[in-house]
Amino acid sequence: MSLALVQSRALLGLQAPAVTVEVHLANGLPSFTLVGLADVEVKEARERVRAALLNSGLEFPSNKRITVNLAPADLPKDSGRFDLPIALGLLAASGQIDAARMAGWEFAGELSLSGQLRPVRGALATALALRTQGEQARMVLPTESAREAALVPMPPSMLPSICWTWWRSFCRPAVARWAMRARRAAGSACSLWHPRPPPTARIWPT
Amino acid sequence: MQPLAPEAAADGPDLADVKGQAAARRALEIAAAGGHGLLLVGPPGSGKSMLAQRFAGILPPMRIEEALESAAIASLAGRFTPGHWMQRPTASPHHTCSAVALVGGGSPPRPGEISIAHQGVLFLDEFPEFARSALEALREPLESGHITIARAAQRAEFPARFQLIAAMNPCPCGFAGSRQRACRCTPEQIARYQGRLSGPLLDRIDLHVEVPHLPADELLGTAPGEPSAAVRARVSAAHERAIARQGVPNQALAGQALQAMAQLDDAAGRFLQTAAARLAWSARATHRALRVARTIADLAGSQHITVAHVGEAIQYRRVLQPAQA
Repeated sequence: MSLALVQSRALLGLQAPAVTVEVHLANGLPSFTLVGLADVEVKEARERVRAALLNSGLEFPSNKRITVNLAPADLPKDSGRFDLPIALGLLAASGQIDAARMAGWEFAGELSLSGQLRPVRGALATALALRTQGEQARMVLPTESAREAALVPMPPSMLPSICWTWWRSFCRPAVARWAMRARRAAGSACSLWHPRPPPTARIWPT
Repeated sequence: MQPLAPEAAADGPDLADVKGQAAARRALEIAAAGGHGLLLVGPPGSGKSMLAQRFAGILPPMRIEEALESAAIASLAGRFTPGHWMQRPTASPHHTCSAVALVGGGSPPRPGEISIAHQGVLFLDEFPEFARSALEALREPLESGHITIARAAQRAEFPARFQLIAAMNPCPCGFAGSRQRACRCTPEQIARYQGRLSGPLLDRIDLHVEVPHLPADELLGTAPGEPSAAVRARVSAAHERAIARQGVPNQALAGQALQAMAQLDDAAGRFLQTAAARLAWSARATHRALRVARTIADLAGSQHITVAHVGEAIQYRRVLQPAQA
């Protein structure tokens, strides 16, 4: 599939409006365009995502015309929190991972060039906003941010399960390379995550 | 996976370091118990900043909801660390800070110092040196406890329920009213200096207290003052009494609730009426004095407000008046 949708959250004041990251791969002159009222640091995600994917042993669709849209288009977006959803959208659109597995999850995280996840600003504010907005959301966050967000106590009905462990298979280059070898050995198009299903780590503040 | 383990709270500076200054310590205690704003006036080197920096240590412990709001603002500003969890924040911006830095702004809107001090302390040292626009921007949030930042494209609302602790010298040279040294400012200079603070702003600060120069024998001779922990125990008891009675700190009492909860006995009622009429207080000033009297009664463990409580509350609004007249 050449189109992938990944859910994320922006941060506007003390509210966390939903943002959909749409990634489209088309045939044409190779390019990487990012639209959707993105601030400078969001536009720089192009370079981070490219390096992070390559250094994690994954493929960057460099021979495609890549368009990334952050919807809604009139909501200003800042910070590096959209790196992770953009990277996942690229992987899903290029068929390296199964897009269906991301359904019901929301992602936020800054990527380093090595593929490591960096904490994002305002994780706790996002979690608190989700609680006050009464929205059900399961978020994937970098470790430090997830620990910060987990300070917000949630009623069991609307617990955002903050899961990060399954993301390790992507962000650790060594593990990722092992998974690539396993995939080649299997000779099929199975995704990185298929060999081991994601352990949904539920966080509950003590 | 567990949430961040709160680190052992680093003990801030202790109130035991402050020697003497009984009046200022008492005002600090009242401010902490009722959530009132406090203005410290005194010559340089008398311990105003020292007192203000120890104020956060005597505040009642945070509830989890308060801690979450405070931590969310800190996280939004990128300042959150595990060590700050359940700790009341103290924001002390320099007096060159702009109005936008103080109350928040920018595009997209970011919280300012008053929001970072939410559920904590905003300490403004050298109060009259702040830009007039910055100080006047404090007026609405001081009253309402939140700030709405409206820009062309978007608007954001941040909570800003902070306790204002301001410190200032009484005049440009700093020694007006001092017994140690003669002031070398003209009355006009003093009036101009104090006139930088607008009446409506001073009206919103409940407690004005003088911090006099400490004589050398008292500084070197006396034993350490009462530690923060002992003061905090009294403050917490008074705070809990207020919360149990009305659900909010005394400072947040308004309208009907103020009438119902701050019951004056006959003598105290007459006394407050006379004082308000003689001192030409605004309705807000009278209500604020009533709230302070309620806190003083809470600290004394008294259900009704008596003349003594009202009397003490009235004298906390009089520091800057004689110099201005």
